[in-house]
Amino acid sequence: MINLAYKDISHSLSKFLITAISVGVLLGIVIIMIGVYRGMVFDAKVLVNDIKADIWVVQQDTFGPFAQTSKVHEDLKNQISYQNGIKSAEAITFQTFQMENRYGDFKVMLIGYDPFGDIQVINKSKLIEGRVIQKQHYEIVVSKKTNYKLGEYIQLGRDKFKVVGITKDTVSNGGDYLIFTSLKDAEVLQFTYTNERIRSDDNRGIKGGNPHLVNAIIAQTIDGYNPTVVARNIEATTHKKVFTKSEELKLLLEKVIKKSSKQIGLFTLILIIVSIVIIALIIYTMTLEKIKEISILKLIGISNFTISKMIIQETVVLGVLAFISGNVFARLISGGFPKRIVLENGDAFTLFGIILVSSIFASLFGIYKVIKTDPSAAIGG
Amino acid sequence: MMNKNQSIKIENLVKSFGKGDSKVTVIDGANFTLDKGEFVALVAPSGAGKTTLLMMLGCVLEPTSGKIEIGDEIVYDNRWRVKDDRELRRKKIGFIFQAHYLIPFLNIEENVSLLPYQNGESKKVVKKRVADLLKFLDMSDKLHSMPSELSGGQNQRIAIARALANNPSIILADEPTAALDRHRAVSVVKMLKKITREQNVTIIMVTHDDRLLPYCDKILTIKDKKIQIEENPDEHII
Repeated sequence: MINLAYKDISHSLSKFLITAISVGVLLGIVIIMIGVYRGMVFDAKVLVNDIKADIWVVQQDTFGPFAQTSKVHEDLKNQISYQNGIKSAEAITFQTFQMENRYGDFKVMLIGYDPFGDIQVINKSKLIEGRVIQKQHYEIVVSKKTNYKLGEYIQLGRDKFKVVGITKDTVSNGGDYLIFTSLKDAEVLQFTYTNERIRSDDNRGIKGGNPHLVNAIIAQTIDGYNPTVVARNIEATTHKKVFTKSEELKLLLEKVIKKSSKQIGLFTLILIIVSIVIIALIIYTMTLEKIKEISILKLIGISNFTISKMIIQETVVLGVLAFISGNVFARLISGGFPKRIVLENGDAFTLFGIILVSSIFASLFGIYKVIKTDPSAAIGG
Repeated sequence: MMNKNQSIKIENLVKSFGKGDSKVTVIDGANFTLDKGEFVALVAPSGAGKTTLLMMLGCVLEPTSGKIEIGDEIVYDNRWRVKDDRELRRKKIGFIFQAHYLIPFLNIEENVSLLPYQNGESKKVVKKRVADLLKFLDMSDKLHSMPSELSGGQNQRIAIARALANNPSIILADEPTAALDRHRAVSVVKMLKKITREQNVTIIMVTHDDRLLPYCDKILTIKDKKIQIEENPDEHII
């Protein structure tokens, strides 16, 4: 038996391939949009996952430190470290900066932590050059994307910091590159003002200096203790808000990126619908282009089943080729985006399934047209 | 009593288009019988209903009333009696049109073998029949050519091969020589005549070309909505 779909595709191969690639580019954009969403969710969790803390203690009645501003005293860590079930506690600060170097300007999140503390803040598996901070002052670890080189000096505030380590894939929940300094340096950067400001404050009777405020206290629990129980106990005794790691992650997803992810999700949905409509139109047009040949086939006695099979087979081949080219396209361009794009095979195959089912459904319009076509129309009878 | 040699029998066939005041009757009470192996010309002015008659005989267009028998099967008796008109065409009827209307994305072999394959015939049988037909039509060397690579006359011969490929009992040819020059037209008509003789196929050929009539056994004419059939007095015996 002759496979009409194969013959038709072979006969107009270049046209068919161009159509499939065009549809593929459209699908590639949808895949990228899904990747943007996945990237946003991934980035939102990177920092909290990298910091090996089970519990986050923040200012009372806030959702800090990421969803809301939080300020607690640095020495709160001592109080937390004596709580039942706590192994260690450390203070941590977060501060966003706009930085500029010869490669351009970019936004960073500066994390201040105690380099001699017990809780790992820099994920060592992401440290691709150099080392972590080993001094209390003037050392900095930067993200590779800042383009700073190991040993280079960076002016921050009044001081110069030596780049001692470079990390990769370290971003804040907003996608900003991470840089790390000691907690002491971070406090100085956050609370030391210009000479003019200090003089002005003195004249007004405002006492300056480092208030030793941090954004959160992070803590690790002793093995065997339930972090949720420990967190609720601390909350009851310290008048602070306490989140477990999973609660903090949930906060990030629900409070910080919820609207953005919804926006992208909706946009992706619209793109999928538009893609389905376009694919449906392409298949319908492809069918109409062959309507004369189809009328001849009907006239000489070829069954509707054979003709419909040809249309559906062409739709499936178009879908498969578009899926392949869409994935290739998405993977080729995903590296060029400023923020993280996470391309998951599961998403691509789900999209493929949706597009394929929708396309086959759309091809029913073409098949309906075929069934309704008067065979004698082929000869103008 | 059915004539065993009967190929087509028409009784009181009527075809009208439209309803009420706009009703137009094209064929009004046609009666004729054709035997197997007859080569019949269908002659009438444009718009008289030649193609309409062919389409009714091919079960493409539903008559208004009357009866159509193809071979020993009643296909229409005031309503369609065939369950699958496509199957009937596939198995019993061959079509040749003014233009060749070959499928452009199939090569010559595929165009000709499409119907036999659809009828479930084996690859071996189909290949042999296609080879025999193309040899008969002197087109064996074009087996793997595409229709776009052949001339109009060559394509028309392939269209004839396609019409014969399913071993039909009748061939309905709608001005098959209209697009051909005189020499080619005569060549095609001689070929059709030869087919009727050698394969016992009944051919009804619509034509406006009087010069082709001598090759036909009978002449069907449509005049004032009525169909007349007469033996061709000028028939050439080939």
